[in-house]
Amino acid sequence: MNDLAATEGVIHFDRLIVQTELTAISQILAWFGTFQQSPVTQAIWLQGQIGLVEGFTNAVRHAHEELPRQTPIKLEAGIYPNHLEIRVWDRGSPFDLDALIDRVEQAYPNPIEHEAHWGAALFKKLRDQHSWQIDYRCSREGQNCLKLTKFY
Amino acid sequence: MIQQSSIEFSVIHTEELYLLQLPALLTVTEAVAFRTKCRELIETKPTPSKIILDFAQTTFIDSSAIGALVMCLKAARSCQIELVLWSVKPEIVAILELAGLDRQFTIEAETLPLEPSSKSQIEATHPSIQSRTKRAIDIAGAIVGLGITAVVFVPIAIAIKLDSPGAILFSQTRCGHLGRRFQVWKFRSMVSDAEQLKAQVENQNEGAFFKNTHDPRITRVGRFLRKTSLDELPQFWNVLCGEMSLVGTRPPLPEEVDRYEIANWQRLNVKPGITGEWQVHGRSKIRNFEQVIQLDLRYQERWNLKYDLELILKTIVVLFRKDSAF
Repeated sequence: MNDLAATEGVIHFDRLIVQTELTAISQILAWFGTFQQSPVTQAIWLQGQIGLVEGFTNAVRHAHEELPRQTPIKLEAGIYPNHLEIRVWDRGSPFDLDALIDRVEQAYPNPIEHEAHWGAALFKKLRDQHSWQIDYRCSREGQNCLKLTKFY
Repeated sequence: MIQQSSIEFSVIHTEELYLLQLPALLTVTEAVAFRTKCRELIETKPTPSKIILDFAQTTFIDSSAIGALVMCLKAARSCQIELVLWSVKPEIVAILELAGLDRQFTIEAETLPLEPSSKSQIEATHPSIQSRTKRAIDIAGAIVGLGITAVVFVPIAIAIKLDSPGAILFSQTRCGHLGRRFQVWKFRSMVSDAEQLKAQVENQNEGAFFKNTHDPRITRVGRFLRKTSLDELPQFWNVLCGEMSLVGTRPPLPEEVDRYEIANWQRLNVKPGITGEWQVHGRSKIRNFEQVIQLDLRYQERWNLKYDLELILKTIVVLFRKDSAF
């Protein structure tokens, strides 16, 4: 996987490492606030914000469920001339995010029906309705990377 | 492993009405406490008639909060309790819209002063939304407008059909009050596959919206309809439905809203109108997106009923002047 910081034409890049603790959400939101800048529009920034937080809570609640709270979760984001990219790195066991996203939509055709699995539903909406590319894959040394990419 | 935060939700209540103030962030760490509090309020005896969720402080909600809100809505419905969301920021509306839930919830302006009053920084909703007189004028105007539409419908329909094959009416998704999407209706003035051809037509506007003076997709009859503004007549239906007003801001396309900078969100604080500042001051001569936004914000600043009536009269004058539209 290429290095985000070194990708050509980077306008703004930053990295944040947090522990496996849900209370880090406010810190993550504050960190992502610096990505609210041109050429990222308000709408895309808001979509990125929800994607980032969902990726993080997914790592804490599912990927790192069995792991100690000191286990680091690495967040990276970069603004480029033609796209915004967000990465969430966890150390859990790999799983098939695409299958989960598709299953959720089939199981709940009516939004008011479900009280759970809204995380996967939001990913599906970002992917299908707002053309975000969502990619979750296992990489070197047992790390997983959730990559969210949006071309303007 | 959900860490429960020791969050306290403040509740204000009158006899039959409860107001629950939500925190700045409503996420997985607050969701359990939020669910519990909602359930508690719903099960209160005697059953409240209305529960208000006050979003004035809230800047972010996540999937867990959405799940909790859905639970709360379903439970309230089953007990015949009215559930209303107050002072919802556009950021939160955007998340509800992403979830496909924006139409499920009643989003209302802050209207009732509650005792003891809490002086939180509640974003005031624009007074034009709350004005019953404005709504009454809209309904009366829409009925008159639809009457006129009924009279001219048959000749216009025949002309459209003879000139170019396809539907008589044309609908398009626009963004209304607080960005809520609706279908705006017009007489069709372009060829049927106009949307597909859009990319081929050079965009002459600067900034975030699509308009072209010499658009080859416009039909001959369409050009006449636009020049006389007759194509706008079916919008009186949108006014009757309450999605639009007679006078307001220009209704933007969803793609335009996607490209808004933060300051431009304010434009969505009022209902869009059939006419407005942009029709009266300059109409098609305005080429720059920022100018349109400026006119929209000026309308919000200056709004009062007399101003609305003035704009209606000015629109009628403009309609009878020659160089008004294309």
